[in-house]
Amino acid sequence: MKKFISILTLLSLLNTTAANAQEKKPSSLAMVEKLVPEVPRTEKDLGAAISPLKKFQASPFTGVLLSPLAAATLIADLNARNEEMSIEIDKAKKEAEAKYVYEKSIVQNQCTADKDILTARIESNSIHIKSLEKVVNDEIEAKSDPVVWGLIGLAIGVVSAAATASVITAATQ
Amino acid sequence: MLASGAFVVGLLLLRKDRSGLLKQLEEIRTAHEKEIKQINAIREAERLKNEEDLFKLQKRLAEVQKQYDEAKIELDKKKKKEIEDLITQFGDDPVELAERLSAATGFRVILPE
Repeated sequence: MKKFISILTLLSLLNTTAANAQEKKPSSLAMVEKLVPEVPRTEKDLGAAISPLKKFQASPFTGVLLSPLAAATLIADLNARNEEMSIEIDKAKKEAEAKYVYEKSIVQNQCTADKDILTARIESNSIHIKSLEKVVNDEIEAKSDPVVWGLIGLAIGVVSAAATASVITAATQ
Repeated sequence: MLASGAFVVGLLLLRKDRSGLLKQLEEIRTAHEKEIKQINAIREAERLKNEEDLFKLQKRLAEVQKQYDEAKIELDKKKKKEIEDLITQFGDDPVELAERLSAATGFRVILPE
């Protein structure tokens, strides 16, 4: 009898553990199961389908019923899809083109300005170089001639000697 | 007396004319000032051109936005007209509406039994 009771207790414990394990599903999976609508088992899966219905008419499947205005709006929206996309693309394209033209123009302006500045600098530098060359040439031309200075020294020496000699002669007489 | 005379003669002979050098320095200074003025004028012209280009960009973007808004308004009008037409023509014809919706979405139509 004791054996039988222990077997029953063991079985009931195992049963509760298995039930708990079934309840503890991963949270993401539970979420997906919540999001996906539960299709009644009596209906077969028809895929993506629509059905025209009159009021009080039996529907062929469980789904969403649209009013004529809602259906017409949906049709018009879907039909205008391509045109809407084309408008958006056209706008993006024109904006990108305008920005490209602007950026190109800015770079061109900068390049032109840089070129003009460099030209001005070259012009100024060539004037500077010419002036310095002239100064150097003037200095070279103004350089004293050693022969002239030699002659001047000789003349001064002769005069000094003559003067000294005349002074001595005058003193002795 | 003799030495003083020789010194004066030497000074007169050794004296250099520095006016040419000063003139050259003046020329360099003038050229440098001209260069600075040119650079400032070039940068100013660049700034003005950039402003002009920015103005052109803003004008073009405003033009594009205007064209976009007009196209959107036109499309909305077209959609409203299409909705009105659909309601007027097939407001009480769910089969035709379903066919149109099927054509737009690709969903198949299942007629009720």
